[in-house]
Amino acid sequence: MSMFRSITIGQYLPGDSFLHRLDARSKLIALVFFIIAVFVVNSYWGYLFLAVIVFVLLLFLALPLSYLLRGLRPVYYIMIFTMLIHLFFTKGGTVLFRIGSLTIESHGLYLGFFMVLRIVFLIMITSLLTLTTSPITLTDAIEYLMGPLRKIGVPAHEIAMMMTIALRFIPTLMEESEKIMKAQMARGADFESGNFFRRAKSLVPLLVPLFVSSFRRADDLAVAMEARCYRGGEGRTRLRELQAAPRDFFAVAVSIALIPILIYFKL
Amino acid sequence: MNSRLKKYAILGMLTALAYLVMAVGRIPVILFLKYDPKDIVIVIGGFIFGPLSAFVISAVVSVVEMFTVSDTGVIGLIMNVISSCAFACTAAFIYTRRKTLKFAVIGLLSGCVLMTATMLLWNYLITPLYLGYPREVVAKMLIPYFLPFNLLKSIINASLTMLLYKPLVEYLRRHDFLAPSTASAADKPAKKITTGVALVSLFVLVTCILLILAWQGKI
Repeated sequence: MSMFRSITIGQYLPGDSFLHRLDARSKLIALVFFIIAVFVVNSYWGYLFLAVIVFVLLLFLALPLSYLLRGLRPVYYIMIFTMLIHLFFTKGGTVLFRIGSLTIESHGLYLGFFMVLRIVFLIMITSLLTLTTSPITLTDAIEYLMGPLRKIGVPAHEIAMMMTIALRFIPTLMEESEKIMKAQMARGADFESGNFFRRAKSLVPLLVPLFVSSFRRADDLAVAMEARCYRGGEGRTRLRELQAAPRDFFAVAVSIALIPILIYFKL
Repeated sequence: MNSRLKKYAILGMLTALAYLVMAVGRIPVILFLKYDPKDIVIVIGGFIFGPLSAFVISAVVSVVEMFTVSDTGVIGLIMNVISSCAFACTAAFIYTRRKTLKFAVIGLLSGCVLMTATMLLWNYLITPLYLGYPREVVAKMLIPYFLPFNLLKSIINASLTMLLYKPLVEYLRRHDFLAPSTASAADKPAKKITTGVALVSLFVLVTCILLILAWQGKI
């Protein structure tokens, strides 16, 4: 079935580059500052500056640029739409084109490209993280970073466990839903045609068996965990500990430094 | 058996299910707006375990979504969580007060209304920030596009939930996957309610700050 082929769980590419070896926690923190930096940028020079950094990271990664650009495919719509909105509704500067009462002005062109670049950078930076970090490591990092929140009653460990369970069982449930869809199609169900309401309604014969089987699996899983003496986050030890190295502090420092640099030079 | 462990195992599985339903059932409607049925799973989780669980499921699903299909990055993550929560948490909050058909309908309907209102407000606030659209253009798009889209989406999700919930829960109870219905609002610890109140008030506060900034033309 074609719709399942387009979904891959995670874009992680195993490897041994600088980015792969960075601690997941420092990558997450750096991502946050990088995203803030993208919003701070207010000229094309700022984007050039960020582009150089992304390019250097790509060199470390030894990955073709096309791989990163592929991640942009789902947002083509938004990019085109953003460009059009700016072309037609942002006024100012000189008039470039005139079609009837519609005008395209230079300021709109400028801002349109600017916002498209913002989207491109946001997506590319996120993909740099997801390409080099496995979802399980990311979950560990999130659990660790949420640790302080446990003091105010946030069940950090349980949330991370939920995420691990979800990541582990998405492919399983996906296989199962494929089976169910085929079984229902053999009984005459139609999932792929009809208008919007029809298609939404066709989810019912898929959802009922899926719900039942996921509750059954959750039950089995809880029994299995209990049998192995699972007792929550308290005193848990790990096979692979996250370890921060000097390069991690360096990466975080660089990402933090981006923001004052961009503001100071008005990039 | 340890009921806490079981609850989190089920919540984790529901998260996986919500993700799956999102991946399979996404139907593009207009512009970049897509119908997304994952709220059905979230609201059913909320009906069973309470509004805070609905919040946790929607947050975790959105994070997983960002890390795997990575569609619109962080802004998409925030909007995702807000829209699911406005719908599912409201519905679950009202339904868990009193578990009757009437309260389920009232809950789901107020979820629809609140979700539509919240999404209109937040699209008005966030889209100019994120994509730099002039705010007047966004304001013009709200009524013809965002309003019918969100209303339609939430009403379809609400009616599918009504269709699914009762037979499903009865089946699950019969087969001992869930405790019988006595364990509802009565044994809810008071602490959880204050957490929910804190979250809601934080959200309202942020909305107000953004609204004031927007009206003063600062952002």
